[in-house]
Amino acid sequence: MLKEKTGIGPGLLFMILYATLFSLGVMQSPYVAAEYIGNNGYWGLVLAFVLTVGLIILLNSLGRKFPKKSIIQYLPVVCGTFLGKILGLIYLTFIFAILILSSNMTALQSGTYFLFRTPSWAIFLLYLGVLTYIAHQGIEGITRLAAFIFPVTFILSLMAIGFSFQSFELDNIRPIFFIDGLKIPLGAVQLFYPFFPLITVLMIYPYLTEKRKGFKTILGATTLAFFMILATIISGIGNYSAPGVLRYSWPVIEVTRKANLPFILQSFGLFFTVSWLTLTLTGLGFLYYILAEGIAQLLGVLNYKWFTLILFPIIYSGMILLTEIIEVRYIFSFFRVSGFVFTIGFLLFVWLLAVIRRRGGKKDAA
Amino acid sequence: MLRKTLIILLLFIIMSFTSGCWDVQEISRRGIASTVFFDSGKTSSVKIGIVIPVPGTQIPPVQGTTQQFQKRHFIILGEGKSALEAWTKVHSNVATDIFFGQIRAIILSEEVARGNINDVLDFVGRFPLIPPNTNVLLTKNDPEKLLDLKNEANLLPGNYIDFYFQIPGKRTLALPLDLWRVNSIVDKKWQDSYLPIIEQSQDNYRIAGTAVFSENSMVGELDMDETQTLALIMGSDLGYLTLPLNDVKLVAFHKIKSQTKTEITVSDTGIVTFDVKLKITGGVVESKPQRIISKDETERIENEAETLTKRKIEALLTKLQGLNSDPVGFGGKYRIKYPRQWANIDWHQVYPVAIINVHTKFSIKSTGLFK
Amino acid sequence: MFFDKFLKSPKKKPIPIKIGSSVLKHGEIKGSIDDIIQVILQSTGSPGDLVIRRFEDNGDTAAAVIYLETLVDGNLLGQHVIEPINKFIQEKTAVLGASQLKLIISASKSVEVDNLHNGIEKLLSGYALVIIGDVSIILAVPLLSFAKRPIEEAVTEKTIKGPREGFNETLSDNISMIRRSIKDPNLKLEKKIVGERTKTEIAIIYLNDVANPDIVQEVHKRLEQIKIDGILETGYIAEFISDRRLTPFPLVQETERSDKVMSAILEGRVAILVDRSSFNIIVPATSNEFYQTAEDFYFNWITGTALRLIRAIGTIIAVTLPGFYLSMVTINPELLPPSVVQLEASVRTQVPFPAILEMGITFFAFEVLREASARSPVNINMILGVGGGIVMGLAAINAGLVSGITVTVVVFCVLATFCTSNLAKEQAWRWIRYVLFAAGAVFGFIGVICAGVLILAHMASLKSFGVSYLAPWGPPIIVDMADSPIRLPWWLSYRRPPTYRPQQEDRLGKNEGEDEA
Repeated sequence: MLKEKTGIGPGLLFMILYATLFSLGVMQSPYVAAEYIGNNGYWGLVLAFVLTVGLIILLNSLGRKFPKKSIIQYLPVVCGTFLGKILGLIYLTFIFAILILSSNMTALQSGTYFLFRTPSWAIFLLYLGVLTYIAHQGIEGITRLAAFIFPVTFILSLMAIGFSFQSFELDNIRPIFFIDGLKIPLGAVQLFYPFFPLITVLMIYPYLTEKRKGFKTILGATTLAFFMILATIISGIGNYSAPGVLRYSWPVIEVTRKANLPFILQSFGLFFTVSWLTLTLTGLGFLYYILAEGIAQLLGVLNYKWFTLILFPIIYSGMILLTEIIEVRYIFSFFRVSGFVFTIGFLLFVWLLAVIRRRGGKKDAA
Repeated sequence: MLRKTLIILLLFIIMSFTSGCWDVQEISRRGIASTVFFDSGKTSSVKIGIVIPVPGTQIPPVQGTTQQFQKRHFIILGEGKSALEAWTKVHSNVATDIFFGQIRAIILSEEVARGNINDVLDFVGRFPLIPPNTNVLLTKNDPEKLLDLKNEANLLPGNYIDFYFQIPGKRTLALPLDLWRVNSIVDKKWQDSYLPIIEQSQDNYRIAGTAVFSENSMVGELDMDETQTLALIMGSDLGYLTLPLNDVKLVAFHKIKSQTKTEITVSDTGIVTFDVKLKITGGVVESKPQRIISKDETERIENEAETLTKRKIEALLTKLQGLNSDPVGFGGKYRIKYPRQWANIDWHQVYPVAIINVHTKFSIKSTGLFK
Repeated sequence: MFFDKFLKSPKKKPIPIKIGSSVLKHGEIKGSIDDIIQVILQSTGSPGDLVIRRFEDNGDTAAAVIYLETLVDGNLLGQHVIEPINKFIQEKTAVLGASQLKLIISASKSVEVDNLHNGIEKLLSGYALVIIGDVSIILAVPLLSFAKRPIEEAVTEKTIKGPREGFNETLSDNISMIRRSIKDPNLKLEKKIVGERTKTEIAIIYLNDVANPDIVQEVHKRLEQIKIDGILETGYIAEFISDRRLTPFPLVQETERSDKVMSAILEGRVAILVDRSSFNIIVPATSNEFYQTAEDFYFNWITGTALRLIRAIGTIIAVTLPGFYLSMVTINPELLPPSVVQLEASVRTQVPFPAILEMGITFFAFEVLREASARSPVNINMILGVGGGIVMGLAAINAGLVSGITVTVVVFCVLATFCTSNLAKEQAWRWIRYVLFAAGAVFGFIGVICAGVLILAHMASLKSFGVSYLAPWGPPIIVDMADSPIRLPWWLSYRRPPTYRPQQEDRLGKNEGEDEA
C-alpha cells in the first residue's frame, strides 16, 4: 500500500479555504456593506482584507512555532494547562457559533427560495446529515472534495457573478472616494466576518505537507475569495444601489437570479445556487470536522469520527433555536463585531504569550 | 462500528422523509400565472386579476382544428381589503394551485398607480418565486378587458409582453422596467419610476407611451414621441428619430445612439444647474424626397437634428419638472457630487426649480445602402 | 444490542480441505507402484476420466503413467512419455530408474514431485504422473490440453480503430499477448495460485523499474490474504482486493482489452491476469481511468478530447437529469423557462400518475427491457427491442399513461449511462441515478444538490491502493489534470501520470520521478 498519511498539500489547503471563505462571505456581504457604509461599501471589504493579511501573518507565525501541534494541543503549553483548556474551549465555541449561524442562514436561504413549504426542521436535518457525512470523511476526504468541485464551481460562480453586472450602473457605486466619518473603518469591522474561518488553519497546520508554502497558499486563497466577494458587493450595490440592497433578505441570490441571456438562459440563479450550495456544504462540513477534531483533542477521548455523531444533536438544537430571520440578523450583527474582536484579540494574545514565554520553535517542533 | 452507526443514521433520515414531501405539487395541478394585474375595486378595496392558461392548450395544436384558434387563457378576479385577501379569493376560485414563479408581466391600473406603487408591489415582491425580471406596466384602460383579449398570435398576454420586450429594437419605444429595477428606483430616492403604458390596438397590444411618477405616485404620462426623447436622454442604442426639414422634406433615422454626460453645479445661493450634453448618432433610413445625401446636405441635416433634439429634450425636461418627476435621475448626479448636502435636502423641492441646460451634438453615422 | 445480529459479520469457520475421501497426512512417496496408485485412486475418488497405463517388464510393473484423459493431450502423451518408456523397456539396456527416466522423457518443464499432495495437484492441473519401480520420485509431465476460445475482439469494449485482440480465458494466451507487445527485460511476471479448490492461476505483471514498489508489495499482500474455495472470475478477486467494500464504485479496473492492460503497465500500474477469465484487473484505478478508452489515443488528439468531453458530459447528464427533471416538474418549476413549463404542464394534464410514479414506472420498464435483452437469445433481441421499446413506448404515450417528455428523458438517460466506457462504473452510476432521483422527489433541486455532494464526498474518501479515487482533481496534480478532460497530444506526453507515483516519470527514462504529496 502507498503509505497512507493524513497530509494535505498546498493545493488542497487552497481549495478548502477558498470554499469556506467564499461560501460564507458571499451570503450577506452586500447587505452588510450597504447597511454600514453605503454606496461605496466595497471599501469596507478592502480594508477588512488588509487587516486579514496581518491575521494570516499571525497564523503562519503561530503555525511555524508549533508545526506539529494543533492550537488545542499547544494552548496548554503556551498558557498553562487550565487556561489553555479554557481558551481551547472558547476557540471551539467560536467555531461552533460560526457553524450554527452559517448553517442556519444557508438552510433558511435555500428554504426561502426553493422549499418554502418545507418546514425548517426538515431542511436543517437534511443539511446537517450531509455535513455530518462530509465531516466524517476526515480532512483528506474533505479537502479532496473541495479540490474536485473547485474548477466547476469557480467557473459557474464567476459566470453568474459576471453576468450579474448586466444592468450595472456606475452611478450607484459613486461617489467612490467619499469618506463619511468612521463609517468605512466600522464597516470594515462588520465586513471582516468572511475571514473568520481562517482561524481553522491553526487546527490543520500539523497536516500541511509543505509548511513553507503555508503563507502564500493561505494568502492566495483569501485573495481569490476576497475578489469574488468584492465582485458580489460591487454588483449588488451597482445594480440595486445601497438602499435597494437593503430591501432584500439575500441580495446575492437576487442579483444572480435576475441575470439572464435573452432567448438562451432564463436565469443565472440556478448556476450560482448550485455552485454556492456545493461550496457551502463543503465549507461547513470542514468547520464541522474542525469542531469534532478539536473536541476530541481537547477531551482526549475517542476520535473525530465519533464526535461528528455526538455533536449532531447539539448542533441541530443550536440551529433550531435560531429559526427566526429577524433574530438571526440581530445576533449576526453582534456576532460579526465580537467575532472580529475575538479573532484578532485571541490570536494576538496567544502569539504574544508564546513570544514572551518563549514557547514554540525548535524544541516544540519535535 | 462507527461506519455502521453512520449508515443507520443516514437511513433513518432518508426514511423519515419519504413520508412527507411538503413542496411537491404536480406541474399540471399548478395554475401557472402568466400575468397579474392590480386595480382598484369597489370602495377602495384591492382588485387582483390573474391570467392563467387553459390547461392542455399550450402544446402545439393540431393544424386546422378549432383548438388552434380558440383563446388559450382565462382571467380570475378577486377583491379584498388587502392584496393577500384578494389573492385568496382568486385562489379559492380555481381548481389549481396558483403559481407565481412564471409570471411575465405585472400590470397596474392608472388608479392604482396614482396611489403608491411601492405598497402595491410589496405584496408581489415578497413572493420568493416571483422572477425579478418580470415586466411592470401600466394601463389606462380596464386591465381585465385588456388582458382578456385574444391577440392575433394567440399568445398568453404574459408571453406576448415578454417576447415584445426581449427584442432590442423595441427598447427605446417602450422603456421597459423590470420589477427589480422598479423596486431599486423606489428605494434609492434619487430617481423616479417610469412605466410603459400598454393598451389594446388592432387586436394586439401596443405600448402607447410612458407613465411618469413622482415619489411613487403617477403624476403624468408621455406620448410615444416624448418616450423616445426620454430614451435619448437616458442613453439609447437603437432609437428612432424623424427630422422634418420643411413641410415636404424629411429625413428619418434609425439606430439612434445617444450618450449623455451631465454635470451639476450648485451656486452659493443654492441654485442647482445641470449641463446636459448629448452626443447622438444615427443612420439615415428614410429620405423624402429620395436623394443622395451630399456632404453639405449632411452638415445641414446634422445642424437641424441638433436643434430639433435640443428643442424636444428641453420641452420634455420642462414638462417633467412641471410634474416634479425625475425619471432621468438628476438627483443621482447631485448625490454623487454633493453627498453631504444630499442627506439634508428634499430633492423633490429642489428639482422643479433646477436649471437644466441642454447641448446636443448630432452626427450621421451611415446612410444605409443608398448614398 | 438489537442490531448486532444484523450488523456483525458471521463468524468464519475454517473449512477442512479433504482430497478424495481421506485426508492425506504426510503425503510421502513410499511403497510399490501399486501402493502409490491405490493412494492416488483413494484420494481422488477414482474419477471416471482417470487413466492408469502400466508398463510391464517380465510380469512386473516397471512403470505406470497416471493422467486425466480430459486434461491431457493424448498425442503429446504418446509422443513424449509412452513411446520413450516403451522403447526403453523393450531395449532393456538398463533398469528404469530416476536418472534414466529424466533422460528419456523429452517433454520440457517436467518436474520431480517429492510429495503426493503436490503430485495430486499436478495430476488435477493437467500433468501426467510417471511412477517408476524406484518410487522415490514421481515425474510430473505437463501435457495440458483443453478446448479454448480463440483470441477475438473484446465483446464489451469494441472500438472502431485499434487492435481487436481481446483477452480470452487462457492465461498463457493472455500473457503471450503482453509479451509480444512489451519486449522489455524489466517486465516482471509473477504467478500465484488462489482458491483452495479451484487452484486458479493468476499472474501479476508490471514494469519493475517503473511501478511503485509499495503498490506491488500491497498487491502481493492482498492476494495472499484471499481465502476462498474457488475463484471463477476476476470479479471475485476484484472484491477481495478493493480498498473499501461498502461502495458501489469499482476500485479496480477490469478490462477485456489487451492494449488497455499494456498501456496501464507502461504507465506504472500493475496488471493481474486471471486464468479462466477474459477480464483482467489493473490497479490502482482512479475515477478518471473509467472515462478513457483506447480510441482516445488512436485518433487525433482533438477527436480524442471531444470524445472524452462527450463521455463526461453524457455521464453527468445521465446521472443528474432524472433528479433535476423530477424536481423541476414537481417542486421547482420556476427554474425552467416559461415556454417549457407551459408545454410541460399542458402535456401532463392527461397523465393520470404523479410525475414520480410515472418516471419510476418508465425507468423500471426500461430496466426490465435491458435485462431481458441481455438474457434473451440473439434472434429474439431485435423483436424485443422493437416491440418492447418502440411499440410499447408509443402505445403508452398514445394511451396517455406517460408523457412523451418523460419517456424522452428516461430513454436518453438510460442510453447516456453507457457513455462510461467501463461496465462496472456504468453499473455504479445506474444505481446512483436513483438516489439522486429520490432526493429530487423529496427535496427538489436542493435535494439533488445535497445528494450529489454526498456522493462526491463518498468518492473523495475512496482510495485505490493508496491513490485517491478522484485524482488528479482531488488532490490536484496539475500535470495530470491537463490530460484528464483533454487528451494531450503524444508530442506533449513525455511524462507518465504522476498520480500513480511511478519510479520514473519520464517515459524515455531520463529523469527520476518525484513523490507528489
